[in-house]
Amino acid sequence: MKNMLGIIFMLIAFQSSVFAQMKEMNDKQEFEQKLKQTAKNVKSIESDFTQLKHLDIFDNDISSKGKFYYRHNNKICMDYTSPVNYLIVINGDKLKTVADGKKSVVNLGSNKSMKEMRSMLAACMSGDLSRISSDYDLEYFEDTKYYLIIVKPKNKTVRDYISDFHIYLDKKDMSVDKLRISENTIDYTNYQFSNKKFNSLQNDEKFSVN
Amino acid sequence: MTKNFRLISLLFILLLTVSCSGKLVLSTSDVHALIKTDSEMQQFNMQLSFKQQSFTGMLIVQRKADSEIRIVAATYFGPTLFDFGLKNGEFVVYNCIKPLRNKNLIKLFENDFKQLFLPNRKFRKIKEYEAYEERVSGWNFGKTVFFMYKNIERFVIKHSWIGTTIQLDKLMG
Repeated sequence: MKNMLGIIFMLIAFQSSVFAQMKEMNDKQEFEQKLKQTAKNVKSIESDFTQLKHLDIFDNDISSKGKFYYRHNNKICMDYTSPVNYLIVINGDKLKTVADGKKSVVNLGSNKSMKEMRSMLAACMSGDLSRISSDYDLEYFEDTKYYLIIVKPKNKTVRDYISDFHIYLDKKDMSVDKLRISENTIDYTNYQFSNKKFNSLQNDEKFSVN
Repeated sequence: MTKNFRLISLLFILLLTVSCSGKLVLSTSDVHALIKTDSEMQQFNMQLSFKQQSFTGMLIVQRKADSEIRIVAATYFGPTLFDFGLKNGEFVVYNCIKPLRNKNLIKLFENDFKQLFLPNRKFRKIKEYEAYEERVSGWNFGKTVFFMYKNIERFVIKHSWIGTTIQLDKLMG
């Protein structure tokens, strides 16, 4: 009798853990409607971020922190404060980095792969998946808290650098809560966004590439 | 008298010059590695300058259980640039992004990282100053100067002939 109860208990526990995991999205249409509405209403995002780079060969993950800014249309700013001060700004066809007081501006315009990557990043970080081109395959999952979109590049050149993106959208407000960019099956970088503010940025000051 | 005075003055000036120019270490074998490695992961801010261009990323180094020294460079945003290993004196390329997959560049990295992380490397000249140590290897186009700054955990590699400098600043934690 005792053994039977133990087995039943384990089965229930197992079932619970299965339901806590991601399952294929029930209603994709509803999801797309919610996403479209959010993309229409949200013009800017400001948040803190924590980045963890996981390299399988090393014992510890490499941690970085900073502030994240996004403004419609495709403008991104990542202002790292730890472990060093480092700034990345993407605005239009320009990519600016500032490190140790030295500024570098690169024109992405002539490079098709770089332009595509820029759109991809903007889509991943803002949650506006309509910006993802047909050069990517999308898979849809959900659990009680998140929608999970797995994005896989079809282009071999992009796949040499990135094997897939995992975008976790918070069901409460359809904002990107977590993002995982995988380089291969074992190495990846996780971004966790917190203290999010929407529509707080009134100008493009944060996105200057001059 | 005047002749002796001139000789003594000359000797005095020479002595002053030698003492200000740092201690010249003539032995080039049995020298410690510029950057010591162990099982603890070390992170460095890496600045790579080539002529007018510069690039900043991070370098992560760790000695693994099998004594291999693993050296990985990545952008701060995340993507890995290269993944090298030093094992039994051999240089292994595990991964390297396409733009950096140049035979001469890989050879440059191999030489630099061996000089940085392995002990008992051959240097043409080693000079010790109060604030830093300077080591020179190679000749002409192959000449490389390594600087190890004692108080601030900074290492600089200068390839003057090709206009390239790599600066590594150790990051805490």
